[in-house]
Amino acid sequence: MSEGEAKATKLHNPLHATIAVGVAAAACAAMIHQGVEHKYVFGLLLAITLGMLALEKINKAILVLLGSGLALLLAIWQGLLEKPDHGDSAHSLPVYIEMIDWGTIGIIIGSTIFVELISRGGLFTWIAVKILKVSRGDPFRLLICFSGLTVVFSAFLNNVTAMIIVGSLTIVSCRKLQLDAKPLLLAEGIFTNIGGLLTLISSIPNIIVGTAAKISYADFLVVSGPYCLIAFVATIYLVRFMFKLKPLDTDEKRAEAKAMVESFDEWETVEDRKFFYLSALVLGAIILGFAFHSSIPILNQMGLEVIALIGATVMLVIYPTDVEGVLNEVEWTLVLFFVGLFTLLGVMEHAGVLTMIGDTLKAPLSNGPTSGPLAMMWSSAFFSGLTDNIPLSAVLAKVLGGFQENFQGGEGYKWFGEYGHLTWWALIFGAGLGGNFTPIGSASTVVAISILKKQGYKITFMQYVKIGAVVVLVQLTLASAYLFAADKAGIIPKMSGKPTSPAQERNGH
Amino acid sequence: MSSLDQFASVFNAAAKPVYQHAEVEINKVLVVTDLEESQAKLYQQAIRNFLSVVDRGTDAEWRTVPGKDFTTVHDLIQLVEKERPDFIATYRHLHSEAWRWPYSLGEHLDVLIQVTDSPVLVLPHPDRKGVPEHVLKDTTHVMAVTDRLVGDDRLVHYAVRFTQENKTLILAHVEDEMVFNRYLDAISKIPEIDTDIARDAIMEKLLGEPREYISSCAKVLEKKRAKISIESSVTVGHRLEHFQELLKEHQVDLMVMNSKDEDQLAMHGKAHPLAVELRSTPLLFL
Repeated sequence: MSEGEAKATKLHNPLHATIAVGVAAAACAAMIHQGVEHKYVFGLLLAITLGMLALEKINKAILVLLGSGLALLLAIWQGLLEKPDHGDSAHSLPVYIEMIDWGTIGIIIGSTIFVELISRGGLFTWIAVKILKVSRGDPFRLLICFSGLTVVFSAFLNNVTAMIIVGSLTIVSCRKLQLDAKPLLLAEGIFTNIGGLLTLISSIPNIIVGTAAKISYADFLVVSGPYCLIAFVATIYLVRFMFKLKPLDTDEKRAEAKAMVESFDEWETVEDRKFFYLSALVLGAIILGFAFHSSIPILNQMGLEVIALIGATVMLVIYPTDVEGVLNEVEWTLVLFFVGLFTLLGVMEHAGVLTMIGDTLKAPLSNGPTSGPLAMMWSSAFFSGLTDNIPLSAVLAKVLGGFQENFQGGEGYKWFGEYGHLTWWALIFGAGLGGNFTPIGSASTVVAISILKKQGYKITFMQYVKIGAVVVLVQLTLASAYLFAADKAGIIPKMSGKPTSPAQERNGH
Repeated sequence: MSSLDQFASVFNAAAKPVYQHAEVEINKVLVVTDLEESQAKLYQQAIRNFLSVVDRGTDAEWRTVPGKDFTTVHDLIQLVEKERPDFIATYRHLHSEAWRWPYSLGEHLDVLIQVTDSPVLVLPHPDRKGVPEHVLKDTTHVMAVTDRLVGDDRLVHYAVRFTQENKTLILAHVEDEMVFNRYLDAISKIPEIDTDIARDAIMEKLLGEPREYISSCAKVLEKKRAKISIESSVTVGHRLEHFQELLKEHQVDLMVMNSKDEDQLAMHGKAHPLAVELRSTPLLFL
């Protein structure tokens, strides 16, 4: 099941959408008419939009486009979006275009295209079968191999695609080996979130928060890499303990299992070897491009998105068949969702809503170099477990960006200067790890559960929470300890420069 | 490519059927006849000559059952249970004249084949005339027949065991053409599926897998230094007609086939029609 297929069965009721917009518009207009401050009016609109996002009754792209459209109309009516005059009106863009972080959208479009093409080349499936063979069909080795594969794939692919590739191989191989696929599939759902933490482009929250915090690809990997390794090992043993996975106990069983996995032919998954090798080469170049982006002349003057878009273009050049089909694979729902979300948050910034949220969060976050980052990590993990971590990350990244601007502008906020870098990382870890808490906390876990259901396994919400809660507790405890240990060891660089998004930077904010 | 089903299809296709060889041990053979004791012994000797391959490398015990040792089906089953042979050699219509008509194997064999775990070798009736000259001489050409060859290692084990050194084993897999066309007819009525693409893709997979399996059998047997040559015949067609053609073409001395599965289809759907038609060919029922 792809994300797209899941959505196709969840069409919203047009009446619900119309009523929601009507009620929100009427409530906001009435409040404005009553003289209620803008930050409360727009705060209500943001709360309604995010609340409805959590309910998942309406397609998320449609919902944020409705919310941002309404917010824009109200803001323009109230004169909140007047742009500073740069004296060059011929080259100025509408304010709502400038609110959008085109860098993030470029990364999503570019990476979707090159990943789709590399996937068509068979590289991921080829690697997956190779790794299966390394496991020799032993259940515990399979857990290690498939979990490792999930981490690596979800570091480069989106988590749902990683889960689908590894999940489908898990089903096929477990059927052949006559093994229970349930522990492996649940573990893979959990491990996608660890993989999603590995690099700056491994997950959308990483892109949003990392870009806002101006963390380079290489710095991100240096900080997150060791944690991912620690969390990987700990989670492997935790899953092994929880599901009582045991290695095969006789030579006969081991030989049989080995013969079974050896019967897989990795080259059967590759249609065109020339394209396969070329796509592997391009993927390597893209990874190097991301890693050394800041050192590549000319490209370092642009955002990371340029690497993704160049990669996509090169792949389209070497794969001239079915270009339309490939372009249709771009996650347009996600792209439109971000267009709406960035616009919505841009309006909220102008309306003072983000400052209001910042003022509310300031007390717990400035409560000390230990309790501040811990509060950020654990609370963002909790809310990520309950709902989509993307809007949460986007809102909190804006709020933290505001703190840093205030600090650098000499408006107090000394505490952020001291441990703001830890707060950013606390948000990255919290938003990334919290998704394992419930079966609906991350898209990849939703996919894992639906694969299990399709195979006839039953797992209730609470059965999953009993597993997920333990995993999240262990992973967050490790992340908390790691955050401070890494800081002491000097692995986490202190924030420098103005923490604005590329879009804001281009606008001269 | 983004859905679970697409990736699962790719991985399913990557999982190649691999033959794993195992030697079939034959330590005891039961020759069941309805003949008098002296004739039964002569018959046993003839069968032993025909199946000289059974004695290859082993000192198998050959036990002969004359006609007086059993009358009813129950007697025969009890006798077989007591002896526990590694395979039974017999012929159709024991204690009956019905072998002249091509409609059944006789009550004894109809039941015995389904009841016993031991493979049953059904030979042409001793009184049958017009048996081809090469039959009952040796097993230089053995043919394993099925419509589900992939993964059926046991069928191949037995076929290998009964093939003489340096001679030929034919592995035949025939997909039923009528069934194939019936599904294609249904597909042709589904607008979402391109019929031509479906026909080619299904045909490629249906026939490709048995071919790969046969090639795996050949490789494995070559490694095991089994001195037999493997030939393959994989096609879509009418089973009985195709097998009869192969029998003539290769002068097959022994056919090996399954007779047991969960829904009795192996015997009553596939093996039985072959058994009643091919009355001049020795048939080994597993």
